[in-house]
Amino acid sequence: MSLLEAEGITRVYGPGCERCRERTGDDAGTNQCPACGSVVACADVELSLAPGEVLGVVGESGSGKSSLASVLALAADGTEGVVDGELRYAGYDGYDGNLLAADYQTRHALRTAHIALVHQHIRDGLDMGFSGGGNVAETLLRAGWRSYEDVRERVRSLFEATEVPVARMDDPVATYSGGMQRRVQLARALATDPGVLVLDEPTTGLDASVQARVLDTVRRLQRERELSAVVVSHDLGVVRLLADRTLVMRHGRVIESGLTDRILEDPHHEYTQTLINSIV
Amino acid sequence: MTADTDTDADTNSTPGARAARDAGADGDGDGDPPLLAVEGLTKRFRMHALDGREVLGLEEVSFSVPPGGFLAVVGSSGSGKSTLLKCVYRTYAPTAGSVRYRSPEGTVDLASCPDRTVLSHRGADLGYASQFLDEIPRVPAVDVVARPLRAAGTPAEAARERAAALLDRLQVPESLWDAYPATFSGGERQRVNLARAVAPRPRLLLLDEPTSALDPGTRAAAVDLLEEYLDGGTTVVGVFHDPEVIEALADRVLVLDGGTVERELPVGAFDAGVLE
Repeated sequence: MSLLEAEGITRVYGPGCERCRERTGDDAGTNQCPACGSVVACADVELSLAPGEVLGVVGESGSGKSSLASVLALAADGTEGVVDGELRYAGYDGYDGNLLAADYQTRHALRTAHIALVHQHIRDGLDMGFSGGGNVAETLLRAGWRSYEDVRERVRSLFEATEVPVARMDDPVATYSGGMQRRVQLARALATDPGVLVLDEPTTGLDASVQARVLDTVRRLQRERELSAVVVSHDLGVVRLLADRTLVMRHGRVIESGLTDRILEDPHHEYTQTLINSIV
Repeated sequence: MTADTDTDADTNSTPGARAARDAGADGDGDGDPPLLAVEGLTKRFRMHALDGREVLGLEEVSFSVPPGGFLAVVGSSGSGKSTLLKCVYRTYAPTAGSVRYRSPEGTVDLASCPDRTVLSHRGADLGYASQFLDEIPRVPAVDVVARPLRAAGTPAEAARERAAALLDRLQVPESLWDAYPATFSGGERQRVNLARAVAPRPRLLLLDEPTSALDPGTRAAAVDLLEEYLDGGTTVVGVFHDPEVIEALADRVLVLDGGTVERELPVGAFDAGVLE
């Protein structure tokens, strides 16, 4: 049984042509179509996520991981590029068709309460003009929360769960440390108890000790709340700690997938072997 | 699960396993159907950094273990012992062959079943202990051991108590129970690892040299634990080097050489001198 299922997920930046797919990918050694110049950020990606499962997606910069993450989180709206494929989610009674073909309202409802994205770039995920608490409250208000007291209480408990000092709740989020800003993003993503969490490079750019603490928090939340999550990272250590199964991406394609320990100890694809051998 | 399933509910309660062992059950499947039946297991590694050269791990390895049996795997370094365990646990994807395991939900081929099926057994009835603790960072020793019990549904307090009792039995000093194993000595880590693996009494337990870093005293404690705590309900396949441990625990011995089975024999017929 799957909670989230994706098939043929493709995202192309540029005009696109008939030859885009055959002339890009791992065999072609590029994600840019030599015929029309379009960038095939990801193509033909198939995946499924079971309830309570954590799926890792690894690959180097430009492999298409973040493009895939934003498609899965329905966050590709209003951006450049053409998105194609089938995405189904079993946790929402209101709609069981292809989410990529759903109307704006449905997608908005899913984004608000069911599929949450923790952005790679903090500025994409937080409003730096707001307080930390305000950033989390904003998600709750969008989801229809109205009582001031309920919202305050919920924000407080989310700050506690993600280990952000509650005393800093009303300070501008711009004054928080990098690690705290990640945690506020997590709090914000968890605000409506989403069915699926998409984490895009959850620890990139943090000091090692701060990274470790953020990862510990994610692991604890995963255990306590039985979160279903897709974790995108260039860091195999992050995936080793968090993911049960892992996909390896290169040039916009999934080149290998399997149990995370199998990928790490018995990598099959030439690129995966290079990636494993590159661990410092 | 699928048509590949023949459910058998009663194999988890075989109090007679040790008796059967003592009576000379030979594990070739003429009594109970085997709990683990490995056939034609082959593993080759293709190394792309070496121009695609293939390295042989295992070739056509076949054996079976009855419910409650204890199979010791021996052989020189590089003979394929760890590779065999990792193929059964699916940390390595076998190149060919089958690994038929009679799980509580029915028989599955661990060599070819879906990843998620493997995961569902790993968390529950299929255990594995590597030679050195592959610890999750920043988790206290007692919680490392309690975790599989929690996953199996034991309440938090009871799980911690049982974990503490296991650490105590393995002579891990109480002062270390709340510390992170990353700072422990090799022998201490190995005992935490063993305690974690045996804690939930898995139906099938794979052990990769679980006593290699222990001194005689703690090794005896480990042997006691494996003997008593895991009564007939757990079937064990373990890589061992120490003749005394093998004699105390195993009922059969599988000798590997160059990735193939050199021979398989009852422990009584095994000349432990070859290990020296």
